[in-house]
Amino acid sequence: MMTNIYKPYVMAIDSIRQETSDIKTFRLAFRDPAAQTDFRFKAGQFGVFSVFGQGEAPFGIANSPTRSEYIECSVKRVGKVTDALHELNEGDEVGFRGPYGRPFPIDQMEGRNLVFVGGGIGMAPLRSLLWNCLDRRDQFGDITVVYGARSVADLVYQQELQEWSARDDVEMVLTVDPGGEDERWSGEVGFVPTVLEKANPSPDNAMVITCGPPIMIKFVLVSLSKMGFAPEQIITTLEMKMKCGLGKCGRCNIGPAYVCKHGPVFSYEELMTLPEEY
Amino acid sequence: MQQITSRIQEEARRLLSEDLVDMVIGYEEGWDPSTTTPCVVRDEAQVSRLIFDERCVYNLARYLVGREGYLTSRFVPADKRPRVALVARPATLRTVSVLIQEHQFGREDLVILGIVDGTASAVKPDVEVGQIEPDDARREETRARVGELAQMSASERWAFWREEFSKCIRCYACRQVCPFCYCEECIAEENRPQWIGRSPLPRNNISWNAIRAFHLVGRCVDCGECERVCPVDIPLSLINVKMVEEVAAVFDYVAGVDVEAAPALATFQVDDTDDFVR
Amino acid sequence: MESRTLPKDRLDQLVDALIADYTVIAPKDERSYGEIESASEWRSDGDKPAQSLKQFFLPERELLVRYTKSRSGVELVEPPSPRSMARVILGARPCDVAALPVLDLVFQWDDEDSLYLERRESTAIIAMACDEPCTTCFCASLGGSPAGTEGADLLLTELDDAYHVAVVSERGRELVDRYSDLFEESSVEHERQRVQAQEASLAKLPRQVDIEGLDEVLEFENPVWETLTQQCLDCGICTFLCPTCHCFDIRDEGTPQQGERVRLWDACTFPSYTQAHAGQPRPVHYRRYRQRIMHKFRYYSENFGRTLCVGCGRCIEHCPVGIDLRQVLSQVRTG
Repeated sequence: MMTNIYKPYVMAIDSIRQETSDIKTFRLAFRDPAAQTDFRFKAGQFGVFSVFGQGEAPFGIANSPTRSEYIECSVKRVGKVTDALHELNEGDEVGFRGPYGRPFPIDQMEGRNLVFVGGGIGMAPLRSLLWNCLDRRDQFGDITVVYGARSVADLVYQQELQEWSARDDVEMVLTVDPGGEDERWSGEVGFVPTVLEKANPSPDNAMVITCGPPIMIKFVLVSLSKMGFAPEQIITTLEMKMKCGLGKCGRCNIGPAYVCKHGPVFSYEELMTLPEEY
Repeated sequence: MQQITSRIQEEARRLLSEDLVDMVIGYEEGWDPSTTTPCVVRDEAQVSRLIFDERCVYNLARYLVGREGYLTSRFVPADKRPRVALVARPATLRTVSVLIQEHQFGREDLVILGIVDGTASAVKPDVEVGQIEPDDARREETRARVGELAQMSASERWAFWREEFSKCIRCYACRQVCPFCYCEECIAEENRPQWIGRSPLPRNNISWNAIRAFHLVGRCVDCGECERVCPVDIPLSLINVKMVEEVAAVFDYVAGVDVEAAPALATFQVDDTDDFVR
Repeated sequence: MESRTLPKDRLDQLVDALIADYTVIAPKDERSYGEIESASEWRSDGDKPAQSLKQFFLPERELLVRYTKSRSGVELVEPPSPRSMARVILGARPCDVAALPVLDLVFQWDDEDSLYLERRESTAIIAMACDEPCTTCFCASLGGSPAGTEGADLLLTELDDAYHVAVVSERGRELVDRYSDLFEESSVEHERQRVQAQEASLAKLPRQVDIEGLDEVLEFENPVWETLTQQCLDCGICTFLCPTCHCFDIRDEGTPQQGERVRLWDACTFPSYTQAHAGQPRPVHYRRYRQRIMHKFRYYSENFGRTLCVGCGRCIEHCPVGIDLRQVLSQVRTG
């Protein structure tokens, strides 16, 4: 009997962390412990999470495969399903289908200098990869992280941002948009692309992994080009309205690509071959 | 009919060559001698495409309104909207009246090349390009069928409509063809809450069709397009015409015959009868 | 290819025998194929129904999983396997049948869609050759034919006193063996009549459209898209009636305590299809229509090697505003 690919795992909410006023990180555990042990995923993959009775929505898996006794997703409250998720409590059950999608090409990153460029909740998939790299630190070169949000209150993973800043094997450059700083803010003030140019990481033997709002990505790509990065050195992960997550329902198509199968991770070189419809 | 075609072409040529309009919306030959298709002519040289005969049934006012309508488009600044000439059948003339009453555009925003049939219409064409026979036969037939339904008991009628609506495939052709379904966010698309279930279960189909009928009360001018386009032959005219009769009986109001009138269901008079409230 | 004949006066017997052993689906009326309980319910003449066979493999509303919340948590129940319902589709048009191998490609890609595939496995198809193609048929442009056998297990062609029965597949052979007392041998004369019937129907095909190299010619940036189909209403008729369109939505219907997760037909022509909080990449009609055409005539073949169209012509016949896909396809070439 073939497996019903649409049947989700049942997950229990282990803990909820309020990141910002409208973003929560959910830590989920498989209700079936055997499923937990068997579960494997790679950084950059996503899952289709659901609130029974409300519907499904895709979110990147925010924890690293090196820390996978649970699954985490960071969810911004923007619509019906995310609203419903935000109303849930520890112990409540949700559905999960996954892991889906093409992960970050971590093999290609070995031995290279890595530059993470994130905006807002775009930090979630980057977090998965960053922890993955930090947990295998000696396999990678320099690691630089440029991360910004609209304001101090909109930065996610604040505790980990401090943890990473305290490490000497990763350079953290944090910024808030002009006007988003408070009296205690000691990081940069400026839009992410500007701050990225100021940080000026070298393109030599480097790869950039970027994720954030489309407008940020657009200007980050301009900056990276100015800084001498080639398209094949730049990796991003796309958000497109997805449904099945399995390459069947057609909703996430951009040109011939299915974001859920050929992506969500794409190199900028690949993105340039796709029609601008995202 | 050939005379009407010639008049339309003559007027279109004049309006375009004297730069009085940017486009003429009319009818042209279709893929087969039995069909025509709506067309937009922007160039004097294309005017010979415009035709008119008994095959030209579409209610072209539909293209004026809505999120992408030529006179109301969200994507075109108000001062850049095109000057439109519209080939208008009698039902389209009544439609334009209601759209003006509902403030979708002003009479001066449109040049009307009208085909009249002697029946009442609030809106007079700018140019009368022809006269046709009124579609009395269709209207009589519809009225007769409405009469038959009125003879049924409530439960017989309910069974009739339940049967009809179970055929509905939720293609929304009825909505898309209707000039009065210009809501930028249709209630059927709302998901917080999901007012109308999206799946084609009988109860959801009844919700959809009933709510659409309610939203047309006091507005429908019986152009007949919804019934014509339904791919599963649901006799939609019957509901809408029944509502037209009810509104006439209760409020002494018929849509499309007086452009100065306040729409019956959009206004309240202190002496409005309320004996139908039980 | 092996063949038999079925004398015309035994057709009803065959239908009755099939009905006794299987769920039988046949053209019922102008609108749709449907389950028949007797031979008289089969509308075997006339044009093909407005709806294709798609609904029997990808239902318009299909249960994916049922959920119930109890004190011990959420329980999920899957729908019963379609394998348990052996079906025979009878009198299907070759275009509708040819659509199924095309659809198979996406439903078996990587993650095999058991709901669709098990329905395919458990359904035998007896196609009927067309003797009167419609004015909108362009199956030949897509490599099909009024007498096409792709996807069929048996193909019936009406002759003078009998039906020619082409045994296309192993499953077709099993059907013929099962009811072997109804079938006769096929003679040279039968074959001659079959060829004649096929040629006659091919000759009646209306003008076709040149698909050759179309996928290469279709360009996203082509300015002709902006004015090509201004009269389109953005309804779902062409998509829902199309035998190869398969986009779907997934929704939960019910309360937090119990309900059903279902999939529903959806259409890329609907404005809300790509509407998301993050943005709307296809806010205006021409972008949606461009996606529809490029998906069917270029992207699907880039991914799966087949065009997502069988030339059945329903989109032309039933478009409420008279858009002709054949004309659209030739205009994107030249425009």
